[in-house]
Amino acid sequence: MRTRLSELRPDSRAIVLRTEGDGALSRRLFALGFVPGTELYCERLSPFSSPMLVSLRGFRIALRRAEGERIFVETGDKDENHSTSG
Amino acid sequence: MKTIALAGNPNCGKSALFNLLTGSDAAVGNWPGITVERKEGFSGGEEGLRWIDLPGVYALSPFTPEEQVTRRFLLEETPDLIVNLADASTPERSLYLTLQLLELDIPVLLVWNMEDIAAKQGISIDKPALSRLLGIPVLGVSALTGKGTEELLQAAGQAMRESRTGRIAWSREALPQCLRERAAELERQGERHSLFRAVDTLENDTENGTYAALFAERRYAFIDACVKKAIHIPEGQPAPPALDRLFLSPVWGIPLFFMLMLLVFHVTFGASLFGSGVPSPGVFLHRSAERGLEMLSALLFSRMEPCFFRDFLSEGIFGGIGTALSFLPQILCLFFCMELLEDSGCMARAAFLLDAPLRRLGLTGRALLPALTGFGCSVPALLSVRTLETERSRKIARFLIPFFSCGAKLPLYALLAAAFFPHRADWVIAGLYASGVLTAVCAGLFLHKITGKRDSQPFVMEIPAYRLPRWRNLRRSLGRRCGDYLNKAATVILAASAAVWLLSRVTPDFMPADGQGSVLECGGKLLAPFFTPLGFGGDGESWKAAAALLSGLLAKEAAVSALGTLGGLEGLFTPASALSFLVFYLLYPPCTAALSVYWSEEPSRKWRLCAPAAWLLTAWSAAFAVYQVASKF
Repeated sequence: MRTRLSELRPDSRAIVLRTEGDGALSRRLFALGFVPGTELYCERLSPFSSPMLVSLRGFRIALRRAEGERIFVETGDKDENHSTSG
Repeated sequence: MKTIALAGNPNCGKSALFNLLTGSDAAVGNWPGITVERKEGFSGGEEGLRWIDLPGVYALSPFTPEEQVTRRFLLEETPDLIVNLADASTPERSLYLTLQLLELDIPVLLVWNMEDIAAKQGISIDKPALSRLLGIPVLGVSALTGKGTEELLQAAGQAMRESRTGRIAWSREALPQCLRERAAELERQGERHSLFRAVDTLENDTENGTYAALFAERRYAFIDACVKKAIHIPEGQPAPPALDRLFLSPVWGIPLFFMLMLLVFHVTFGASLFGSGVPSPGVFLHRSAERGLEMLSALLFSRMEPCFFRDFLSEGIFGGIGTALSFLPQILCLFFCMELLEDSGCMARAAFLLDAPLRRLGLTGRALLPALTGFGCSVPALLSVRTLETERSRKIARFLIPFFSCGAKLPLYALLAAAFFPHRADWVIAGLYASGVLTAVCAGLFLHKITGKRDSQPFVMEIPAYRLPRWRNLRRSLGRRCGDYLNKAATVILAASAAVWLLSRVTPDFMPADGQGSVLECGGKLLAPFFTPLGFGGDGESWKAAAALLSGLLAKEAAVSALGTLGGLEGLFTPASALSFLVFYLLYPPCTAALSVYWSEEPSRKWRLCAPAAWLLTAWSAAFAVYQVASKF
């Protein structure tokens, strides 16, 4: 399923499709490795649901939802209705 | 003399290596972005080497002001060699910066740090193979133990003699033809870092934002190829540390952090540790220091004949400095605890947890380190504000820093709290710290509102691994604090307390004042009407309070030495006015040193002028409110 990084649930995996936007912030995200094909693991959300803790390429990074919205990812889930288990 | 720049990702151990090589004691810690300015040091060897420790960067496209320091240094003051320190547990991300450094016309030495930690995660780096792939020497070092530094110095010497820049294999394979042509053209025009300039111009071309994405993709493709041939990384992400279940827990994380902070204050200021009747380490240290200084004073002055000179030495000089010095061990105790929190990685967790509340103040989780540094001293705190993401959040943070009660204010709190609230001293002090934070929160909410909420603050911060705090780092940092404090005691505090003593003995027409009519008293009485609504501006002795506040502008400790010089607290305060005095002292403008840093860091003239007035107004209003409420009880 294609979605944005900011929509990922805690303890879920995804692969980066593309990172949107230009300017210094996107270049920062590129440098950190948010490039197509990179595997991500959304570890947890903060108690206020933003920022989120993501690990990629062997390190962990905290980023806010607004930053996560720039990053499009592909999750392993087949479709949305499939994975709404408690 | 040859110049070598140390460059690498944030928190990869550059400052630790720098300290090791040059014998310096730059601050190190477990937080991305401790170093915000370039630092210079020298190492021996045949001709001697000049080392520059640069702020950590993920890439050469700058994001925050301290990262611009690194870019500017490398491009404009072109060093003879770049030692690219890299964290072996994150090889891919580290190599991204390496590839950018290779575009520069400067020889690069790639040095892996923390290979032992990486090995535990199953990561191993084939350095000879990587060296062939990148075309530069690749070494390993341990910035902790010093293993490998000999080889590093040898390789550095050789690299500078050969002055051979990297082969930039990746650019030949992966960059479009037009770019290489552009670089060649720039080179013909005499541009030094032609390839870097050509790439950089396209990356910063916001109309064709795709270039930045394209280059990043190509760089990582090249890195992935290198990893395949020379670096073994186990499949999948490493499991998150078990401690994070507790520290990052949605339920327990934030309460735990606040409990830790309370514990720190209790250990530093508690008169009775956990109600056992035994004084806390901080209080014990303070009492011992006080006792020692009393004995020293008795030893020094008991044999001298009473005269003006003896009084000057014992009351003016020794009394003033002694009061300030007796609190040094207690201040070090507070720093020690804070350093433990930061070094272990707990602080970075707190930044993650507290980012959302900080957002309401126009700040991000990154502001936590400047804020907590502010508990130590406003000067480094104001400098570390540079690591924040946008100028607006930096403006807000700079304004709020002085509300975080600095260590120099502590002696006066301890003195007054012990005198007027003997059984609740630690609660009064913790309350003062909390009021400072609360004031900062209110001021932040207000500033966030009036400066416009429109632009969102980006927050991207690496959460480092837990590390066992190193005794050497703790000792170093305590030594530095201790040195700073002694330095200040021997200069500003000495001068201030001598001046206060003299001014309290002389009348405005240069006659000896017999306890009345001194210059200081006249000055204090002039200011008295301003403080009357706050409860400490009336007749009698209260001019001493105003005099203490005035000398507190030179250095915050000078306020307590002034009170010491002027003969203590007798008849000066009621509990209510003591409380209002403490609140005023907590919030009024910072010392001259902090003020001058504020002025040099703050680019806007309007803010430079308005901030001190706003601090004064805040202090006055808060103290007024406190006095009005407290005097009712």
